[in-house]
Amino acid sequence: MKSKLSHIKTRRGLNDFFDSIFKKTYKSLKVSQRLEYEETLPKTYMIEFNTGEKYDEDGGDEKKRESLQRTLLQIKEEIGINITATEDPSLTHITTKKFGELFIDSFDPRFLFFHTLAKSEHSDAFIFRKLIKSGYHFDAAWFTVQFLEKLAERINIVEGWDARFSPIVDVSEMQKPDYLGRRVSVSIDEPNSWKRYKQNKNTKFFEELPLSTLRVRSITDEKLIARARIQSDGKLTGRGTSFQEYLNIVSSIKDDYSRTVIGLEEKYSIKFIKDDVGFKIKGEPFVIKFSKKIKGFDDFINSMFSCTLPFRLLGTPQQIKKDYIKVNAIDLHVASKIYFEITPNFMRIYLPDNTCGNSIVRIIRSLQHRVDPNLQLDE
Amino acid sequence: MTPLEQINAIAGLCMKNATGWPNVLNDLGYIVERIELKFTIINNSGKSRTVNPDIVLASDKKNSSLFFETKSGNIQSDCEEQLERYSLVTKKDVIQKAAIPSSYPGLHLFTMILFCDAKYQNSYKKIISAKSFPIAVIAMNKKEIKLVLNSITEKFTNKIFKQGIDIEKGYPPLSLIPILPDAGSVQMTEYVVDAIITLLVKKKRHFTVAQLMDSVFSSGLWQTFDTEAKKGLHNKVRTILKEMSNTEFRQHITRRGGNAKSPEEWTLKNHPDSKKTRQFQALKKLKIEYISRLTKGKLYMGYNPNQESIFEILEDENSPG
Repeated sequence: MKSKLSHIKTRRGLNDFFDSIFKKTYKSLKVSQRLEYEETLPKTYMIEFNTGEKYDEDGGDEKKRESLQRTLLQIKEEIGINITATEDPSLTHITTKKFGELFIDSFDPRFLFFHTLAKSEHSDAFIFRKLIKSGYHFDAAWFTVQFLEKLAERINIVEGWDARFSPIVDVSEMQKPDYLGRRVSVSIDEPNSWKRYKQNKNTKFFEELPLSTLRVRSITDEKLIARARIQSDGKLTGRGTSFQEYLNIVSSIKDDYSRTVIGLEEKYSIKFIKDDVGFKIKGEPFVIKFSKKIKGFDDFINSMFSCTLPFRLLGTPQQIKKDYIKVNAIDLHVASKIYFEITPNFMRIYLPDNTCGNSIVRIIRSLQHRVDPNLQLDE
Repeated sequence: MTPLEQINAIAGLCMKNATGWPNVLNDLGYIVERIELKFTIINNSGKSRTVNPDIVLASDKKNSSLFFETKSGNIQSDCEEQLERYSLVTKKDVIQKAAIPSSYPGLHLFTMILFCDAKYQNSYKKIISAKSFPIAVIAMNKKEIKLVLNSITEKFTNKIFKQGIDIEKGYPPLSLIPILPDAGSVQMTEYVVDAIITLLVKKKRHFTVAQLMDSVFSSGLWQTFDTEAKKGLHNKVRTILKEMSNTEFRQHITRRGGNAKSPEEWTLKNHPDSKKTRQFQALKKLKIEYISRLTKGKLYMGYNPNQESIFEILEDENSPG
């Protein structure tokens, strides 16, 4: 595919170009309520990059960026990309054969932004089916319901939200002739949308309402507008009159997310520390409490450790009691060990040292959208 | 219950989150201070003797420490001598040699505890009573964890154990300390298989036994073992790898360059394609088959390069198990 963005060599160049796209699409949407032919909205995918290597504070970011470049070179054939360096060492331009062009912003070399103007169907396919599945270094940022709720409370204006719940199906239920799949999907766009979310959450009308998307707006003191559609899989779509203001939203979300993941690792990673006389243990399990006893417990366990999406966990459950399961699993997203103890009422997750905190948020988010939207976290 | 399960059950009493297991000792400020603590004391004959409790809990809030020796089975012949050593531990040993931190060392309270399966408690109680050892006995059954002989020097802790800790509806934590050097061979094999699958998923091409150890005993656990334990484990893991490479996992691991003289270096092959779920599921199935066969003590019935003739294969097939 011929590059249309190869002229962009600096961060300023990227910002100016995307800003011009922002203004153009804003005009189209304002005039005709839809985009012109071949116009697309700028999108950002927040991606966690973690090789498990530990670096010193000094120069650590540079080494991580070098590691990112090495990884991209290793997988370039497999995922079909061409890599072009820019004048900014924290900005990399990649072109794909079928999926458009992307810019990787590695200013924070662990939590990256992939900015693109490609069509959603193309960029989604590249990020979720190619990049993340390419091995164990890349993972999406997974926004839990609690994370999005906190974000909504913090951010300027919430213009709308989506909530989607699609439960994992109990195989025995599916075989019944009158089986009807259960799904909840709610979408609201209106000035009072956030107030309505809070009013409806946990009511008998909307027992299952796991927040999956937020649509927010931010306005600068110069009346420039940025709107962002924030999905729970770490994808953001922007529009408005200021790409800079959109970047402010994106960047603040990244800071919150980074704090969450690193905080989980610091608090819950299990470490054994040797000294002269024995060894100490640091960390403890992360606990998830289910709001209701899980029905079809065995099917749930089999599904969770069957290597399939959304969990992608490889594990062989070991029955300790009738309703108590222990699983030493491998998180296939990141090729790391992770241990579970599960009952129909709660789940303990043990995060070995060097296993990424992103695994915990991914598991929580999957459980919220597929098993129990109202689960409670040990925070 | 195995010793490891007992250690995890005790450690769980100190967890910050009480979900599924009573964290009564956390309320008193206890934390897991040491595991596999080793220090020496001087016995009555003036000889230096090693004391090696399985787990030590300590509370700065209560200025107290609890030294647990766990016993999953019935009394053994060397038990009396071992208990005698525990009975000789002094406050000075606890502070100076075991290095238990205390804000007020002179007032520190410590208790040596024998933690056993309730069904074997009488034999331990008998020997401790007969010798008047200052050792408390705490017994665990499916319903409770209870002090059944002597007392704990710190009064609030004593009250808790004397009343008994209700665990009937509890789910003991099992993975705080996932594995220790004395693990059974099947359990050890499971951890090695998981480490190998992790390396396969990571698309690693080669590894040494030493590199594998950090993955089998993760989170820094490997570094906590002493040289002797490390050597023993090294041999165990080498044997497991050899067995794996000749049986179910022969398509995935082989000695590097097929060199029998360098058993330390191994090659991984047939890595799963990260985009193909079925290949991961095949690895999972292979692990289940392998572990299930080992658990049942059966021989491998597939191709084995060590079997040189059809007669050996037939011999294997006719062998018991």
